[in-house]
Amino acid sequence: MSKNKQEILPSFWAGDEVQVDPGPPRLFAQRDDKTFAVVLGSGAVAPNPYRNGPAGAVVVNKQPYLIDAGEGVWRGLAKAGFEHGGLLADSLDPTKFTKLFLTHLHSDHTVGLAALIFLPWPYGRSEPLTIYGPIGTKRLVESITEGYHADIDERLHGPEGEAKTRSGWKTIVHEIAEQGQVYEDENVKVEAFHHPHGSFKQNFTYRFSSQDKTIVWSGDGQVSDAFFEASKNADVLFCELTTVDHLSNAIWGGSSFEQKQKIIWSYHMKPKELAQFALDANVKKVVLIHECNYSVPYENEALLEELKRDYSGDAYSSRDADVF
Amino acid sequence: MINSYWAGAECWLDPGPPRMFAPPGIETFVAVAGSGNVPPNPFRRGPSAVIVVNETPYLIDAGEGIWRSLINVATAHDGFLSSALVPKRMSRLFLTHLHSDHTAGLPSLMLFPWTHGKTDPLEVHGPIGTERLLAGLQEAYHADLHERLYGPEVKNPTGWKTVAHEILEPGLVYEDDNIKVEAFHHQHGSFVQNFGFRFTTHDRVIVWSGDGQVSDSFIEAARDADLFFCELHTVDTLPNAAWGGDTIEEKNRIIWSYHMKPAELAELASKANVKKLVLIHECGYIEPYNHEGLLQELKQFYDGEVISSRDADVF
Repeated sequence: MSKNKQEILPSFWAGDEVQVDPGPPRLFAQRDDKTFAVVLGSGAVAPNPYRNGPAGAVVVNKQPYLIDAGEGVWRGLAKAGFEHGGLLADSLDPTKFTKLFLTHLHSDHTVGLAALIFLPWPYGRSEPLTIYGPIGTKRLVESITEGYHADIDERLHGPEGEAKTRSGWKTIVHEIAEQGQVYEDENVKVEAFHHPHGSFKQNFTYRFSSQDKTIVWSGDGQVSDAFFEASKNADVLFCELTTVDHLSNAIWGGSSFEQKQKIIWSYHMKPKELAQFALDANVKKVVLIHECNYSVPYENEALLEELKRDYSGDAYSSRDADVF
Repeated sequence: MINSYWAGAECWLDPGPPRMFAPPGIETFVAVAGSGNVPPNPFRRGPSAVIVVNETPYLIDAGEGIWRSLINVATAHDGFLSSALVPKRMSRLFLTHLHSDHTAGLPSLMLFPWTHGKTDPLEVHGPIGTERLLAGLQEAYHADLHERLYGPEVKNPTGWKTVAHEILEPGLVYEDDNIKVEAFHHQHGSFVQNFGFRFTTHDRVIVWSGDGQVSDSFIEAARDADLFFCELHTVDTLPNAAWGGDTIEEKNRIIWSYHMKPAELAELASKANVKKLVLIHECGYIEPYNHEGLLQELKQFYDGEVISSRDADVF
């Protein structure tokens, strides 16, 4: 979505990135692939109108497996559906938004949950939404359902009710007690691997294995042995990354540079770390998501350039509705 | 482009850039942050708006994407609202009703300004049920709160809180040095409460509708408004609606329990003598899709000044 953009506002509190259109979405897969990975939200916490909050989908044989629920995920699903000549239009159909995997419980990855639970329902979803996630996901989902009960009641029992499915707003939650395989069906096997992120006890990277691709979608967080296991020989690794060069421009993590170093690296990965990691794990393609690129003036590939100093493999900085 | 899409062609057609309609000298601004409604239209975020007077924002509804749509407003029109729309000031919200398209953005509003330094709680004025909604969300996001308060990051201890001000009956709901806010009810489905709000500042009267039907009290509430923002649903293209049942009879029965017809809005706006009418939350299904299809339908009945809004339009 483009804006009739004037000059970038200097010293806008949210930074330059929220004012810069990174460009249109791209298709990096073959149209007749059986498996696609879609970036529904390439953003993070920053209120970037060009980048939805973190969210993705792995689509296998036209069935979507959703990952995370950042702000704007409902609209992100539609955008990804009609781009690329409608390649994913019948895959990203709301009646199919029935499986979701949450990496961790930071709000930027979960504020879109209410939209995913309640908005596909008027469009005919008749099955519940099944959600896999860390311990704590039940409390999250049950409380949302409790909070939004007025909407549920009105749509079930009001005039609209007779035209609604009865179960399209419901949820089923599976809390992941420990890493390993969490899901399998005829299309895909899903495994969860924990890696450290702040003080979270659980922060999952998911590995999706289908007949033709292995897709890995990282949690936010640091490298670890488990993360390595998760990513070995992946066709595509979607991974968060944070700048070293421009860290001093971060608007969080403390007031001094020393504080920012200490706090930010408890949460995130450095370009050199990801470069080494992706080489060792023999990943075929690295796609950056949830970028903390604090370049001033903003260059949307600045962080990718930082990575490429140490990584000569296939690497991309993603945009909303990019398809791999 | 593709031929047909479950969410409707409106979702892939850019309505165009935001516009600045505020007359020179005015000191109260109204920005449509999200001009959309339920459909997943990337060009029109979920219903939300902000009134800015004296550098102070007063938010209306919290549709999907509100955090991004507020910043979209802040950076539009050479950023003239960017000093008002800072996180620490995003602390007062008026909710029209509790349909999820108007509240799906509440978690963002509760949590993101706090991560950017807000220390005041979010004060939310809304129907009975608002307290339960906010309590549910505080409970829901407990893991995030805990991690950010007690993990390495250590955020401020108060900015995530919410305070519910449930509106028991229509009338005055809020007043400060900048603005007076009155709520009036009009019918929307089976909701006992669905509020429109009348905002009065030193230089303007602004009326923002709930979703819903006309009534005599609605005419009174909108009387002489400088700006009247109102939802509208198509009559002509109703058969194309993706909701409300399978047959036209069903759709007519169900949809008109919830929404307003063009002829009805025309009569309401005329009788209330509003100066400028702005369409929000539009439900129009003309094929081939045209962003002004519903506006044209309304203009068959109304010859006053009327605009079909877009995200980040400022009035």
